[in-house]
Amino acid sequence: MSTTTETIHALLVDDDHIGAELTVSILRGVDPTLELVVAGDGEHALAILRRASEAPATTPMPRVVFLDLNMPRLDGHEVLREIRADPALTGIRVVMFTNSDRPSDVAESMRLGADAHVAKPVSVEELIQRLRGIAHLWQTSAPRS
Amino acid sequence: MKREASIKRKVIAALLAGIISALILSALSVAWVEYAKLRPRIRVSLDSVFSATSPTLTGALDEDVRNVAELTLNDLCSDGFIVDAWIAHPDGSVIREPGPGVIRLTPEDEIGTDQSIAIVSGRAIYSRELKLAEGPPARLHLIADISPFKRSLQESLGQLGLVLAAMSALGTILGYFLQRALTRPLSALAETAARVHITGDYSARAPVTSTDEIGRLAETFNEMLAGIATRDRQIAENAVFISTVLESAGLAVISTAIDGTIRTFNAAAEKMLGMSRDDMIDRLSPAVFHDPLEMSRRASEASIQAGRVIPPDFRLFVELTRQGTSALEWTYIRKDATRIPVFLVLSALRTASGELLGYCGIATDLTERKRAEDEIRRLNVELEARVRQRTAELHQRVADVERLNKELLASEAMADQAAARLQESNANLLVANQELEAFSYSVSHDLRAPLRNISGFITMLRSRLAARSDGETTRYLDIISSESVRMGALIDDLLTFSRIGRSEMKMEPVDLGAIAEEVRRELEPETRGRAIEWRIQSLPTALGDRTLLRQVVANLVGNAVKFTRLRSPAVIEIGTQSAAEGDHTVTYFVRDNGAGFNPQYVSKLFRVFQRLHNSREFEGTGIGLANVKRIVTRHRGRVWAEGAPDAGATFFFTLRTPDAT
Repeated sequence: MSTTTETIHALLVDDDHIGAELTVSILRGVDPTLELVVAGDGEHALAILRRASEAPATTPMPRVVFLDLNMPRLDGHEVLREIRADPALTGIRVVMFTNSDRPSDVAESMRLGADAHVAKPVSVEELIQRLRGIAHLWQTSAPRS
Repeated sequence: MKREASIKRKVIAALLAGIISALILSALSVAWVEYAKLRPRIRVSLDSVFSATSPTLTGALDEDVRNVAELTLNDLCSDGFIVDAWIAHPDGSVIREPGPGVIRLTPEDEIGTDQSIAIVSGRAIYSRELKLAEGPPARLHLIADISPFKRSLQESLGQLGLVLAAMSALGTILGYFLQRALTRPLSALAETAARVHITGDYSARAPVTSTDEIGRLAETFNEMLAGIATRDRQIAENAVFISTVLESAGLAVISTAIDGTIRTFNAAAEKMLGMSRDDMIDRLSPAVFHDPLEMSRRASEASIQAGRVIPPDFRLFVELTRQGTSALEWTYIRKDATRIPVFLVLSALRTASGELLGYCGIATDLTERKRAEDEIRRLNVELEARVRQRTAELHQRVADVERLNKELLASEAMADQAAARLQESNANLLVANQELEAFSYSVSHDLRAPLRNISGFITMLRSRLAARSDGETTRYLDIISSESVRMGALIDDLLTFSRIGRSEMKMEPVDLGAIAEEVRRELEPETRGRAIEWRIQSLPTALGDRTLLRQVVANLVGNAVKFTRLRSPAVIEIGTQSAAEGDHTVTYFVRDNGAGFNPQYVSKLFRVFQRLHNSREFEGTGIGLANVKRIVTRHRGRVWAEGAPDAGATFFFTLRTPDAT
């Protein structure tokens, strides 16, 4: 179990930087121990993750990745596939964090190995509710040594 | 009776003839025997006379006392048996000379031997040597009267005659009884035969009185009678059959004897020729109804064929049937002089053994057939004309059809093009649909992000301004916040609406009662503190997609709760109407006593974004009822509403029952 003093490293991938800012604010509200790094697109996200796997001292490996789906160039599912294909990145929790609740998208997320698929509602209160519902995903996961 | 007498006489005569001839024969044989014994008997008698007198005579001659000898001879002649006696002496003298005028018969030829006897004209001439003591012997001649012997013979024969008479009488009596025994049954038989012959009643039977030949004869006769009766019946039946056939036949039947005398002239013949049978029977064929010219023509044809002259009379028919049956068309002349064509089959009537009995002609009236043939010929001509006409028309039609075909081919090419285009359009439509779907998703998703950002930043702004915000600022922020939420709801509803039109439906029996109860429970947080009277009937199961039907119920019940907000108590009723929509269909309804609506606008009720109430009074996006209509329609049901302002509303929808196909 995490403690209040422990920092949980997390990576948020979203090309909408305004949305990302709001999300960061919301996620901090949901779990103050989250230490969030924001990547503006999929390639950037993978670069951070690879750097973390090579030099965890300078770039801490995130325990959870919040991954937007609809992004330019590499979309969320492609990033997820890369993460799951990389042995160095095993153990990372991936939460698909998207505007889409299209059944085909949800099914694809599950197929590729996402830990959760959160369709973001318009209502901020509702979004907070949903995130609280899945907070255990990153809070119970053991930090990567 | 005459015959009976004759048989009786014959029997008696035969009997008598037998008896008499037997007696005559026996008499003759007796006579013959007696006659044959006559000579020896006479000889014996004469021998005894000789033996008695010879010693005396020999002694007298030896002594030469001729007068003694003569006296002895006279004695001999005196008894009547010996009528003459003399001795021829060897010296040539005769002892005892005959009387004057008597000529002695001496059959010297027969008297050659020692002793002999001859019988000549009722007298026996006996001659025997008398041995003398010396010298040649003398000869004694005796003439005897044999009439006594003959008389005894005649007596025997007379006795025989008496026996004969007695036997004849006996034979007659016997014959009478014999004829009685024989001829009684025979005459009974004859009587029966005569009766049968006269009356023709073959059921009569002769009495069978014995088991002898006559009895068997009577039995056989009776059996023959029975056989004849059976045959008679068959013959009678056959006769009835034949006459019925003959008289009811549609064919004229005329038969003749060998010489051509008409014997049969049936009803059809009468009808065909208009002549009466009584006039025609016994007339000679060919009678008046044959065409003499035709007869001559046929006769000359037949003559050529036969190689000899066939006269045009009955001999023509004889000639025609010589080789078997003749079947030709002839002309008959009816009594009214009209001429009719007939088909005449002529044949000779022969017994099984080939004996010719006569001839038979069977005629069919060909008038109708000829008329029909003429009619057919006429119709054929017409038909040919019509066929020609139709053929011409057909050619025209074919030309038309060919022209139309060409046009059709052209149209088909066009249709093909159109189909190809349609297919293309379909493909385009499919692509467009997919694009539209992708578009509506991305629009709604992309619309959500900024909305969320707006509402999120307003929340943050509000917490930042919390201390220093004035009332107006706070109100503006609230408006911005609630409007963004409303827009979000609109987007969500739009998304649902577009999804309902496309999603796959999984048809199954759905318990609408359970769904209604679920929906009611889900609405409890919203209805807490309100007085709502729920009237939920037991609802029948419907066939449909559970998720979609749930949306229908949730929407309608949700509306009912929403629009009764100002009623206390609110009454919400969920139920079914009696099956007015026919079998396999149920009409469900949701009724409330809420705000209702103006029926004038009922047509707008189920359209997207059409609202009959101000959103300030009753919140909503105006998509819910459009969704309801879309779902019910996809279930092949109907949906409609009834209501009045402030008088509540009732929403009806129909669904099929699970047993519907």
